[in-house]
Amino acid sequence: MIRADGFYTSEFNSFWKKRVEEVGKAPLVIAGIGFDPRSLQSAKMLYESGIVPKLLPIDFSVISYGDEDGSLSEATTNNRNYINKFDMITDPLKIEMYDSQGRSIGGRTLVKEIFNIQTQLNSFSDIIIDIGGLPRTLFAPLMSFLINQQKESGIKNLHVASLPESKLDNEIVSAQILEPNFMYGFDRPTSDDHKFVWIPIIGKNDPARLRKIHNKIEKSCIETCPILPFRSNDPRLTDQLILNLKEVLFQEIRTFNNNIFYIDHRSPFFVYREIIELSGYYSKLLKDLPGEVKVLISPMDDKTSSVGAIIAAVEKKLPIMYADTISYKVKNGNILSSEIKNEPMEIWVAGEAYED
Amino acid sequence: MAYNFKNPFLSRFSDRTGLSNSMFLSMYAPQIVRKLLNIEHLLLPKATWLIGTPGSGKSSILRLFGIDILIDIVRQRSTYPHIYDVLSEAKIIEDDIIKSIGLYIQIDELYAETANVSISGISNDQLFNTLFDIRVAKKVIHTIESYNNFKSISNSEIIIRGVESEQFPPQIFANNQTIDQFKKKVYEKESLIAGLLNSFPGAPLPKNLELHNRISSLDLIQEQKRSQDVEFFLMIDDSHDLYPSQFKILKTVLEKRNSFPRWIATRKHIYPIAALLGSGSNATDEREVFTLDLDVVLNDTSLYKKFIKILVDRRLNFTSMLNEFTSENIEAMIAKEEPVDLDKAKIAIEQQKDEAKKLASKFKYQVPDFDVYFKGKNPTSIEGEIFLIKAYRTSNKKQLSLFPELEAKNDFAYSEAPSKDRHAAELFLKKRLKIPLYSGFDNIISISNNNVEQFMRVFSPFIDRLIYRVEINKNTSILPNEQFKILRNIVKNYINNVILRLYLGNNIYQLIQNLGNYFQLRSYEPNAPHAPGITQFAILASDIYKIKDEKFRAKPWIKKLSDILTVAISHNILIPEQSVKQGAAGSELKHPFSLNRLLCVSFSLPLQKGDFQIIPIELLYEMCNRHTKPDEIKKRKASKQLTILDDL
Repeated sequence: MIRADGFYTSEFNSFWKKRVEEVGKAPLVIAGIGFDPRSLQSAKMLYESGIVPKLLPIDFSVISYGDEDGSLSEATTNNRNYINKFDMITDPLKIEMYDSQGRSIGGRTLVKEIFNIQTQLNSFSDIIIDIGGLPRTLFAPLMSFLINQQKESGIKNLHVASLPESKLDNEIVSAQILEPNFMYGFDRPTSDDHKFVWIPIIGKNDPARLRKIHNKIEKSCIETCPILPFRSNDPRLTDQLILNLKEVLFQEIRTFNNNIFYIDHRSPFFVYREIIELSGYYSKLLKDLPGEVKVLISPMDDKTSSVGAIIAAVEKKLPIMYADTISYKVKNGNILSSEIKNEPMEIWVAGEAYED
Repeated sequence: MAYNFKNPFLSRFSDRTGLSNSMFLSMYAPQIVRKLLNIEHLLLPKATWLIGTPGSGKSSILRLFGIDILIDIVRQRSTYPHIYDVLSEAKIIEDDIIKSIGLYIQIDELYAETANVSISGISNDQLFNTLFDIRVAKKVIHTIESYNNFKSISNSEIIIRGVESEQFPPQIFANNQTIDQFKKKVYEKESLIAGLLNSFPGAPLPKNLELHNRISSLDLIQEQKRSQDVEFFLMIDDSHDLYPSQFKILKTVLEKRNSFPRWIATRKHIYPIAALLGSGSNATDEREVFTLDLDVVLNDTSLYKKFIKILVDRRLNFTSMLNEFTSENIEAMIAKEEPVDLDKAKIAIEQQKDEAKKLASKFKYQVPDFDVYFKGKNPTSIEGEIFLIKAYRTSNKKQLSLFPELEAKNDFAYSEAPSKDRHAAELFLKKRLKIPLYSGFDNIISISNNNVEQFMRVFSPFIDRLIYRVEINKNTSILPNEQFKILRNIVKNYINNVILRLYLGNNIYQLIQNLGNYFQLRSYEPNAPHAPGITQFAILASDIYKIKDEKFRAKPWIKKLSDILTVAISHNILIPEQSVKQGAAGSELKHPFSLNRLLCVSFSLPLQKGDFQIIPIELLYEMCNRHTKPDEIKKRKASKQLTILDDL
């Protein structure tokens, strides 16, 4: 199977029942233990289906506001207590997300920690990264590293579990955005001669992040091709986004209307496929320009679509630029205690499914 | 395609390093650069530290001297005559010949990566030195190439001179070579370093990567000076983004004697409190090092106002909504307060009479009767306000006058009142009549605290309002009441989006709330004892010593207070003023700090420089941590007792 027809299913439980029967071994789940109630959803689902996975918890800290009623702390404590149900392969990996000057360092630190225990990881037939409770700046470098290691040194099968919950996502908002930066673990252009075809994957009304990234690459950006969501369950979403972002998209970034792509974001592989196609198209079209032309991705939509962008970036050696969030605000703390019953999406990222 | 922003005052263009040269130049208001270039130290072969708060214009100043911008200024002299003239006066350009070029190096996030990566057998300092050298070399290549091409000299004729062997240069800088050969090597090396910094743990080390044990690129610049008929100066921007150990390495190298000027721009926040509480003058000079505080340079109201007006005119060109307007039109649309109308004035005078009557009944020997005083005259409401202030002052005197009839009646006259009292009276009257305290373009400039970023923050919502009015084809004037509402919103956003997001932001917020309420109480005392009001607090020299001294800083509460003040000062929330000796002979020196004028709006304080109140550091620390009532602050000003637990 080629990646363009990548494997994913929304039937997480039945997939894993079958898979564990096949390989005869429970998977390892790598999950965050922050305040997000989705953090351990895949482990919970497996546990409730009678599969007891091994767990590798990631203990990271972000600044969060809106904890006046203690709901944030309570949600974090719940997650931390819940991990005791599982057999952990190590104590939670404690990850500093930012350095003393507020720069994002979490991705590099996490990869280093994982590298130190990789022999343990190699013994598993399947590894699931549950991205529900992990920030993009942690799970993207981790995915890149493990995809790389799957090819080169002993990781067998890599999966991602993702649970988009728009209601919950809308309640957790970025309060402070850091300066944008090339993401660790992906290609990093250094020369000033580089030109970019920029693909911002937009799913939220977040003009500040869009503007910040654009300001950073403005001089090198020769074309902007935003990818916008096209969802059957909310057909007005795209119109609303364009209305909200029209100033930054058309007046500041000066995007051409016919450069906008509309993709069903619910499948990570639609996004993946579009990026691969755009990358191929532009490398042919612009090959005669002086300096190198690269497709630059900025995943700003939900985490599921980011998975597709990350896989494309690893495969095509594309840089990712992202403005990380240093602090979050939870608008309504009660939402954190609401029980989540939905199954996460199972996305098979690397391994047997793609071998000839 | 021409740029068209709906509101061009929303963007911080200095942050947009990718901005095209033409747009950068079209926006440029060179008044401040002209003033800077008059400071002779800047073009001497010294290390000059340009320090300032965010928005003080550091990056905009440095970027002007890069080769690409200089070439554009010369080529389009008739488009940018105002900039050409400034550079010409400073002899950067002479008769269309470029005489000096700045090598602009921006410290970006890759430098931080050199400290974060851990690769066995490689020291992080070596990586830092190598990256810095390569970045400077790249800038040297680009500058020499562009400069020579500008003079129609082709690359094949350009030789990059190698660094003398006694300087122990790395191999890449060791020999003379053509610019194309050098360029190839430098670019390859940069790519290898970037790959290394971005590699996963366990990845093999690149072969043929020679790391630099020391920074050698300054020697490289020096060598090129010998072969090129142009002067270079090195400009480092955003050096505050380096880790302290990297900063130390760079500082040592840049402050060493050299034959060309080095300008290093940095935000104030990297400076410890001791440095931030400096002399208050704009510059300190040592033999090889010169420090220039840009905030103090900008603290020249008439220069700043000129600069702002030109900046407004330039930015208006970038919006089709308002491009028919000039700064003068806009100044007229942001209306100043209207004169007090007759009806309101009558009400005010009646109130003042009543107040004066009550006062006179208590202190009839000293306070003249309002009606008697103004008999035969038709007092204005502001005269009435001055009368009251003075009447309260008289009534507050502890001793009765032996000969009240001999006291000069003119003491109560408006015409005799000093300007501070008049300002206080104006404020009191506006309060009495519930007239907005701040209105007009000049007040917006005052509120911006001589900081360009703050001006944009304050001015852009007014532009939003104008655009909205233009869109719906309505009267574009913004009346004082509306201005007041807009200002309130700006303050709210400033607190929520700037102050509260800072490190120790909650403590800073608590402190300014307590200070603001206290200043308000004291400013509106009826006898206006501190006219035009209180806008500053002061720390005694002995307390400053404790904050600065390492021994005292071992106490957690002093350390924390020092950190809070450092963050607040470096972000322009509190502004250190020149220390004063005010008080009894031999009394201690006082170090006053002004509240940012935008915050003065929140507490209805005057925009003029007000008086100060001394606050002991123990009380100040408490004010950072809990709500403190103004009366309590007034009562406890002399106290040295720390009432909350020292539990840090």
